[in-house]
Amino acid sequence: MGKRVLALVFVLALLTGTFSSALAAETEIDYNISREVRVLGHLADDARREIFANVAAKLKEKWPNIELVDDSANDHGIKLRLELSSGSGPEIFSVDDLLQQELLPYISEISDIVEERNFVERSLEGALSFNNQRTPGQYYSVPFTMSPCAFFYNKAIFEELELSIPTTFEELEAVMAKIKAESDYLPLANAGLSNRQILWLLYCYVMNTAGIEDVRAWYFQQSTPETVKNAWIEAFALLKRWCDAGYLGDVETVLGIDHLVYIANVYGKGNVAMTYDGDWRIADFEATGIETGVFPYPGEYGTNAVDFSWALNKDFDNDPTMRAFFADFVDAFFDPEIVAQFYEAGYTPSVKFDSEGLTVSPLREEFMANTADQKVGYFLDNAAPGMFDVLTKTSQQVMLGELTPEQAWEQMNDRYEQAVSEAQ
Amino acid sequence: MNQQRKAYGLRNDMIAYSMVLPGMAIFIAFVLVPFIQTFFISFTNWNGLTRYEPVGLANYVELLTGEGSLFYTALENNLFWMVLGTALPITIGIFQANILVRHSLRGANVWQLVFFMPQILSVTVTCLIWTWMYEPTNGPINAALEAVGLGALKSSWLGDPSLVMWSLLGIYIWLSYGFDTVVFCAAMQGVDPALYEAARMDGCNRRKQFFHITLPSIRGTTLSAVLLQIISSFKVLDVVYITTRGGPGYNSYILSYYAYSEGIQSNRVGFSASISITLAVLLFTVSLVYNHVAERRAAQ
Repeated sequence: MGKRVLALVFVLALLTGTFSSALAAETEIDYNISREVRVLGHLADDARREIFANVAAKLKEKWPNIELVDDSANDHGIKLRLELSSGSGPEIFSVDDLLQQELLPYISEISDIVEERNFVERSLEGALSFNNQRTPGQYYSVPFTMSPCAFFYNKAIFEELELSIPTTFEELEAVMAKIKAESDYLPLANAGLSNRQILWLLYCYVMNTAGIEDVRAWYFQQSTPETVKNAWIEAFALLKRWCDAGYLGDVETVLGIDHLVYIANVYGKGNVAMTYDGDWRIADFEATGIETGVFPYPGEYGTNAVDFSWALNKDFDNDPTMRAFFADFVDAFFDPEIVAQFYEAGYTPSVKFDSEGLTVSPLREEFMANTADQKVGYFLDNAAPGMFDVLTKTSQQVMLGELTPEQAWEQMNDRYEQAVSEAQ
Repeated sequence: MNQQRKAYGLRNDMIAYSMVLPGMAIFIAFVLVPFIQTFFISFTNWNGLTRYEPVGLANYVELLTGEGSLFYTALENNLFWMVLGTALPITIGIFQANILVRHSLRGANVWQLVFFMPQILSVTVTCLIWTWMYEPTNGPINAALEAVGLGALKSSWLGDPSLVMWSLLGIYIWLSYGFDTVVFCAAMQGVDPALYEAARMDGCNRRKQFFHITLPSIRGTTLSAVLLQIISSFKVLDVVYITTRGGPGYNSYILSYYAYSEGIQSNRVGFSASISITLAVLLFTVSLVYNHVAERRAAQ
């Protein structure tokens, strides 16, 4: 009897020890883990690679044996899809809101990390929810960069023609009409091979005309309110009107311009009054030597979206070590030193930070100051896969007179509806 | 004796098959298997990420009859490209080869290398440079036209719907005529000089020698070159992708870009596969018809 009891106690102790070890292994964070962590982002330029290198150096203090590998690429979206679907995806990667929706089966939910590290409060208003609105109550990524746009204008032309900075859409059109009527200057520059500048303006028009709630319903594939449809048709009609009025110049010439060089080749010639572009082109505007100013789209919402956010591979759903590392990795992008470096390199962080004392160009300072009040908006081509290509071509067809505004809406909406039905 | 012959034949066959096997293995692994996979994917609704379901012929029905399908728009551009993208490089290649070989041009080998240079350049870099050259506001082509008093001919080479396909064709011809020149140089060098000697003695001038000796003698090479050019013209994607992305509007849209756009940008891999298979069938049909016509003419 005694031996049997002893044997039973021994077995129980063994089992308890085993379960405890397993449990401890599941919850224990191994800061000395030795492994490579591959990060696939879009931080492919020199400045942003340097920032990444500094992040890696900071993480070394707490995670000495983790080798952070920067695998950033310009076509990282395509690379991500191929790698994740084949099971060889990176540990950490960056996603925009549309990519996050597509890759959701491969992304780990990180609501616990977001709450623990207080990322919502530490970010700009609306930044955390931007990528995660399609999964209410759940977070799958944490942003680190914004992509704000604004009008860049030639100060000398505005001064010569005694133009005021427009604060309403009607004033904007009045400014363009005056430039056209009273000078040989081109009111608005556009690079037609990609048509981005004009598309972003159309997005601003739609957001501020249809109402942001209705636009959100459309953008997040919930419904297509009549207000959104009408706003799009009006926007295409507006585009045609501007083309017919000559505000963009000769349509075929505009459509032959490459967006990579239009700032130097078109705006840089000094006979263009303004254009609409992103903060990432500030250095290009400065390089033209033209005294340039900035004003926001005259409306409550502009194309000012979260650019990319960090996400964790779903393989690490139950891996406390990797989840802790991911939390520290993201947190590093909230570090004031890293944020300052990011800002001084010419990018707009999505985290709250104090820019006093940081060294940036006057144009960058003006950009930040003049767009501070503009609310977070959307690049509407991210509403569904393939929309950017369709919108580019549809807007080009409207400019050429190949489509009426109503036909343009039909063409665009057909693709949108198809993408939404396939996503479901 | 017969058994010995059979054994010998079998051994020879085995040796032959073993020589061919590596190439066949590569062909099977990188051409046949992906083609079969694409064929099956074309009957599904796969988005490249999640599980797929079979949809039968739905993709093909949408492609060939769907209201929003761009198949016929793209096909029209492809046929334009096929005809001119075949005829012009071949013609230029034959013409240049004739000058280099038959007219004993000094430094002919150097010229062959110069004409072949576009073949060894990166297509991406080439297309980026051509995009800059075609740039309407600052590009060198318009600047040159202005400088020589032909400013009226300045155009938006990639922005004008009536010019864009010609502009892209220009890039394609620049990239491919050098290869044809080198191929035809080799072919013309193989023509028996005695034929030309005899023709000269009979009073044949150079033009008649070209049409009655040179062209018939390089017929086989011409047929092969035309077939290769047809296939190449259908496969072009990089030129359109880097320059216009099928624009302005859909004026330079081609089938290979359509497949790329649907598969990579819109995540409609199943539909994209149906475009690829249709393109392959089209190409196969064109090649078959061409070979049949060529063989009949040769027989006549």
